Amino acid sequence: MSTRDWLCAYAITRNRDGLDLGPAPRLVGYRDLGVVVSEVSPARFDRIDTLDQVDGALAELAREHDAVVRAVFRHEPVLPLRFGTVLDGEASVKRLLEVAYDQARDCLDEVEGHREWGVRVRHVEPAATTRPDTAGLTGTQYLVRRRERLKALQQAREDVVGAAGRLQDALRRHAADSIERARPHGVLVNTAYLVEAGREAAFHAEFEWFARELRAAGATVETSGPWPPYSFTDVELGVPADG
Amino acid sequence: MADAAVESVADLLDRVVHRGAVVTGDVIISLAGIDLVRLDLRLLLLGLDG
Repeated sequence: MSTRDWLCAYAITRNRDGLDLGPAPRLVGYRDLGVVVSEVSPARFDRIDTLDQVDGALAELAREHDAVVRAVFRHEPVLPLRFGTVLDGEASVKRLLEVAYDQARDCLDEVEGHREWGVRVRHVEPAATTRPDTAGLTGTQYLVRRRERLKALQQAREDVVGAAGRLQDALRRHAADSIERARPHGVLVNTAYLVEAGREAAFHAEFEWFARELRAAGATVETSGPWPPYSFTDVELGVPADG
Repeated sequence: MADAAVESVADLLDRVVHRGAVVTGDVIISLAGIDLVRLDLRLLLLGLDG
């Protein structure tokens, strides 16, 4: 197979004249939809080193992908395509849009006017086995001290979990959609929210309100974003083999 | 690298590599290595213990 016509596809968007995508990417249009593509050398992907993701070639390529998606997102709604979507020439891009037109347009309509925000709450408890200062304590005093300490830890945990729940309830009310993401150890909340532009101020005000309570209880709270709606475009656009 | 930087790359990779619409069928070229990437990314996320 010739690799000369391979096109890296970044996102589906509206097919509008004059969309400024910078030097390399271009729009392949069908009706009122378009796919943002650029010529790609497959060799670029060979450099991905799966063991060195943080500052390696994968992170670099992912940043490039994100930069293209964002450049479109500044002007038009986007349906981001997964990293590494490489299509076999312009005819294939058009066929994708023909076959998946309704699905892609519905999805694009849904996310139009929205941005994605990530919220993460982390709470690392001090180890319950850490020994309190026992110097000069009788056995009974030691046990009392220890019980108090465990009780305080339990209370702190309940405070954080309670406040985290209230934060999530409040943010959901201002979001069009939300998705829970993977939670590594110590992370209580790792959620992506799809927020309509007009609700962003209210969303962030609520975040700040509960963040104060969570920080006071010893948790770390942060937002990331705005993102293009990556987490809310989890659809499969299937193109059956040519009959 | 600082945890915050690791975390921001993880946020980016999780969105760009894991999410977004998937195209299937004969218009798509499968790239070797991408599935491996997904697997390793999970390991990376599990390792972010703060």
